[in-house]
Amino acid sequence: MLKRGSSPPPPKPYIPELDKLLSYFRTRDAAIDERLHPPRPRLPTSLPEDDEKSVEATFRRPGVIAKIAREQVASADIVRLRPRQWLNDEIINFYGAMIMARAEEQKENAVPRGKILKAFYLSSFFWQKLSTDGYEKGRLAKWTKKVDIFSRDVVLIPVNHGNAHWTAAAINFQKKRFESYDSMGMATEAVWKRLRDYVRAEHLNKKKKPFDFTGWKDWAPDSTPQQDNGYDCGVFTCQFLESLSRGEDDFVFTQEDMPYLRRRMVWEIAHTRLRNDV
Amino acid sequence: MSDNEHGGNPSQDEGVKQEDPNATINIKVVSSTGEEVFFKIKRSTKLSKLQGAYASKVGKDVSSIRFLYDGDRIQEDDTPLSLEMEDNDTIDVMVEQVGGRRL
Repeated sequence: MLKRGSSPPPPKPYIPELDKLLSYFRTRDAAIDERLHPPRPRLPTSLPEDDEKSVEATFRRPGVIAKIAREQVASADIVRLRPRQWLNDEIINFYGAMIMARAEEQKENAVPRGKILKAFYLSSFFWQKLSTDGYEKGRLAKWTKKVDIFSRDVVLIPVNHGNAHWTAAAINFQKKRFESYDSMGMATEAVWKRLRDYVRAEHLNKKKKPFDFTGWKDWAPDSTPQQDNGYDCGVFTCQFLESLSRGEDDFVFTQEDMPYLRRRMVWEIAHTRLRNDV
Repeated sequence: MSDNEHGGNPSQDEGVKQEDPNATINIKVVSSTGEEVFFKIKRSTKLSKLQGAYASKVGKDVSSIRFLYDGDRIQEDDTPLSLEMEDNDTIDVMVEQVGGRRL
């Protein structure tokens, strides 16, 4: 076909089709995305068989179920961890006491994910006193007479809203953030403001000088796991606080894990320790 | 109750820790709505007695209310002595909190 004397045609440049190009970019982006956001470990759907039996036995026990530090949970409280039940202050504060106990042990590599922080837990009544009485009238300086919150990594605070809703708040000294985690995605600005007011007052009272708010920001990520019902917020709140005590704020649980987490919490309360197997 | 304690105590006693278990102490119990009830008890008396007396006075079941001293839940065996309470200290009474969702 070539005419004599003419040179061979130049090699055809490789021009991938648009589809191939797009597919290449998609694959590359997915790989980058996976490295940036590794897939979340999935929580199991049930405890080991013997532990499930122990949970059922705990539900049937009368009287006081367990004690830790100054908190206790009785049979009337533990049944609130059955499906669809609202949680009360006894469950929330017992969970907080377990988080504090683990933080105080300060064992290395105690948990598979994250690292146990120097956390301080303030009971569910702290927020009520702060909201209704304020720092002075509520005598809140005395709540921390044995602790310097400014030397901690994080201060964890459960927040009860109108005796109908639980959320988690945190003063994160490591990341300089006032944090609010709400499984209904609502409570934020009022919580941030109150956390700031508390830190300001506590610093003035204990350190006798104003707190330096430079670099501090308010934090309530859109990625906060959400509930799709009218009863699980207390479980979300306990799990927010537990994750935060390990420095983990990219929560792995979702609404569908709540039935499992309720049973895990029963086991943990009955054995007065947090499970570190997940 | 009619003792004039301040008049009766020499001023040099102030600031000295009162260790006598039979000495009495005034305690203010404040509800979450601000009502105050005053008690005068021995430093060695278990605070569970005060809790029971308070509950019947306000007509509440003890298991439905929580007694806090400086944020700490008061235990069965706690006494003013064990908690190192001082005269005219305050005990907060809180009621059970619940939550499941925003109404």
